[in-house]
Amino acid sequence: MKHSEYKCVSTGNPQMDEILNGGFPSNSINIIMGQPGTGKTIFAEQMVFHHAKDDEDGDRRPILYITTLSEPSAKVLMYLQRFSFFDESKVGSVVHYQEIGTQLTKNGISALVPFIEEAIHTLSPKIIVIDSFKALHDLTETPQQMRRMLYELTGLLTAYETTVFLLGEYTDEHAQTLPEFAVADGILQFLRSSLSTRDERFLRVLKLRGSSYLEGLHGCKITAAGLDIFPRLVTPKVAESYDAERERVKSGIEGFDTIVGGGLLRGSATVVAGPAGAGKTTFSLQFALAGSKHSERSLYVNFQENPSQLARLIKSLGADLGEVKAEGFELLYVSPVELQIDSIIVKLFGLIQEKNIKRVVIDSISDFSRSSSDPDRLHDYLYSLLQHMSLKGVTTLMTYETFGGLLDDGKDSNSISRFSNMSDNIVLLGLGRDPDYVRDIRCIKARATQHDRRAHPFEITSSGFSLSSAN
Amino acid sequence: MDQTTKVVMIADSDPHVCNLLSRFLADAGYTVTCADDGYKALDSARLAPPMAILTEVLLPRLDGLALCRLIKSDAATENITSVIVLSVLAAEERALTAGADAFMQKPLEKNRLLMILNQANSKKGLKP
Repeated sequence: MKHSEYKCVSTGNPQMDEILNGGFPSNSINIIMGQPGTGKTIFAEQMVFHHAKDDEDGDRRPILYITTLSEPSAKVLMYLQRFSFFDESKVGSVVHYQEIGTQLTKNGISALVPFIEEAIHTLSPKIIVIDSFKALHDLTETPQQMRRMLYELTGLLTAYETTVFLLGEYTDEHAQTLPEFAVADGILQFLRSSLSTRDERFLRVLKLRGSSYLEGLHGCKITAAGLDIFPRLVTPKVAESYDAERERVKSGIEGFDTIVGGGLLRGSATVVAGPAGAGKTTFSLQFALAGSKHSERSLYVNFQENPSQLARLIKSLGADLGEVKAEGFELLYVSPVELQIDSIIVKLFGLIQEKNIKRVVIDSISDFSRSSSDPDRLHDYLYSLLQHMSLKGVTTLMTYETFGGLLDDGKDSNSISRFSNMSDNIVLLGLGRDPDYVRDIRCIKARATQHDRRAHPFEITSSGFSLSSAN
Repeated sequence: MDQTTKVVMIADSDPHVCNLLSRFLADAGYTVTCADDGYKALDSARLAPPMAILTEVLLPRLDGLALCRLIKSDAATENITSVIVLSVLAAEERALTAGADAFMQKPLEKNRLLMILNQANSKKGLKP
């Protein structure tokens, strides 16, 4: 018995194809849903112009973009020209925009099937987009009328070799009740949520017949090049197993390695927690800078100090940013105002792979927490990221700012206890108390390591951390 | 060749398929007849053998593969130039075993259809 070959229609976006396990099934009917301004039309247009390129998929048939009662195609085109994927020369030659609004207003929704049948006959399109399909409901007098039209349309579009996208301002409730969702082979949802002064955009696949896909919310943003998509990071398939001969990574902080059994285990994750001013940034920066001395490339991810501020900090530790960069120190600075966890983690993970990074500092995960509207999602993301890094032998250090109590005020759902289970080591930095304000450092957790749990006084000098009595 | 040279019979119960195929074939200069079940197709082919028959596997009453076998073994229809089996199923092997001259997987596309039909006819010495 021979199985039918499963063909995919690429979205023209490698990240989206990754989410869809290759793309949409060819000859399928798909719904692209989302409220106005979520990015569904940009997504569809980007895909259309990808397939309009010469010999992109070996199928030279044209593409039909039908506008119904939402926006006239002239308006769509006017704004579309601002995107780099748009190719004016393809409009009318490969991409055919046709409006059916007048026929629909005059003859009702029964005008759609003959219109598409005629278009199939005259154009033979390989892709058909109907924008907005949801608007047809406004012209429907009875649900039966819509069902009949949909039955005819599905019959026609199933008989003919074409991949169809029905765009619409559908809500979750519509997805449960409207008949087009029952006949759709794929459903892609675009979402937007407000977080403080900025918006976060997401997409998710609700249905994809005959194919596995990456579930959950995937971050995205609209750029001049179209839609930038960040597939959700998932836990690596191969479970992490530690080597019995465990290598210790030198921290570069004098006296600290003695506390944690000779150094941090390669591939481990450490949380360095403490209140503001305790020395978390100095500690973690020193760890990253030490990488170059041990021929390990380091990545310092920072959301507070901009590159100029960080250069000064590095200088205060007796080093020079330009020199350490030449030795393998990488800096990733993102303004906390623009922080979107999905894009940062994808960028971070890409850098680790591209630059063969072996030490990573995230300063701080508190900023990450504040940037995320969903603490569970943040937790899952960080867990997956740390699993990936562990598998690649990347030693990670994350700073965390505490407030009030030593570890946790118990009120913050992003508190350190949420990160404790995903970290191998927890190091606490104390500011000290009146009258001496003696700073101290304690390792309260070091997985699979005989460690010193005592508090050790330390100072921050011109050469960095200086621990005393760490023996 | 007689006047049946350019006649193609479509044996398919799906009106959309019949309609699309009819238009594609008419554009290419063929005369088209339709039958919506296997026995109607067989009777019609015996009375007036077309140049080619396009038949769906899942045809009512007499399925497309059985129809293909009967057409190929019946003296009244054995001279039909080509029998092409259509299906959404990857049934090429079964179609060829049943004696089909070609197989085309659905959904339909005009250029692919005409190419398959022309190739099947060319094998029998007919010019496209």
